[in-house]
Amino acid sequence: MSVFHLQHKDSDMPHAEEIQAVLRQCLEYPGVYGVILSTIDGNALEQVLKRDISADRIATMNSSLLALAETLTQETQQQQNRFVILENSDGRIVSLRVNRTLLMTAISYHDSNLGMVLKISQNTANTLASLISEES
Amino acid sequence: MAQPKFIFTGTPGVGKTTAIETISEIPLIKTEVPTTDELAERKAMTTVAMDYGEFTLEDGHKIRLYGTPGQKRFEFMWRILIDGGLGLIILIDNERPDPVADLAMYLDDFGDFIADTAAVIGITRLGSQGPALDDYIELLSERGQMHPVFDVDIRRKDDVLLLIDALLSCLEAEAL
Repeated sequence: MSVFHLQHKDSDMPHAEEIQAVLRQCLEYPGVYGVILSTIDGNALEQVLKRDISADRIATMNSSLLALAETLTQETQQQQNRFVILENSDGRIVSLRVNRTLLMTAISYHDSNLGMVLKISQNTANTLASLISEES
Repeated sequence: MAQPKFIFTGTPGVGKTTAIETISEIPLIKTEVPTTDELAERKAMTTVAMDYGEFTLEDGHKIRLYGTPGQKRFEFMWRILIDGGLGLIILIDNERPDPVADLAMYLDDFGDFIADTAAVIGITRLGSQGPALDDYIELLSERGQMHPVFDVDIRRKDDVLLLIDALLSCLEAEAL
């Protein structure tokens, strides 16, 4: 599990090391091969990736995806979207909010357990939210 | 028959959402989120997926109006939104550092779509500073492209309708 492709998008970001540690912990779950923290308007901030994929592009697409999901939620008169799961033939993508301005994307292989991936994604998002709110 | 689909694109913060909202007969479907980068100095919210509104022409035909995100990083949404579109309205903020280059970028990025359909251009915040309308026309001339260019205030319904009318005229002219 040491094949981290760690990138720092914003070295001035407060608590960057702690945030990376939290993302890395999420990546240690079997099957998860990418975790990206991004802004709600589509800029990647921190990411840990085991595959050569573009965090910038995923961050932007996740911004659109969650915005559409939340708009659809409102349009159907439902309350507060919690997450979006993309179930693909060879993997899964979980997208969710960290707080008002940050999003998180977790990417896993198909042999991972959906419930576990979802739970660890939510736990990671909650930990990030606490960490970021502590410093603000 | 499918309802015609027009797409509004243009520079971030130029007012694409406002333009559609100005003429839409239905409450706008918006995907605006708080702006967190340098654009925050100019606007608090930004569109990250699409806007959607509807407008009925005098002949009874309903037009579907889609707005794109402005930032180039959302280019993938541009490709999705132009699918099935009949025409493009490009809005350029004349107070940006190089708005003529901005127009060139949109003409390039939507080039294939424009070649198959039609486009009109609205320049906003045209004042004493920045390029003149003629500078945009010169750019189009250099590129061998002919698209109507208007000085517009997209908060004014008549100005947005002017762009719609011009686009319809272009489509008619190309059909003949």
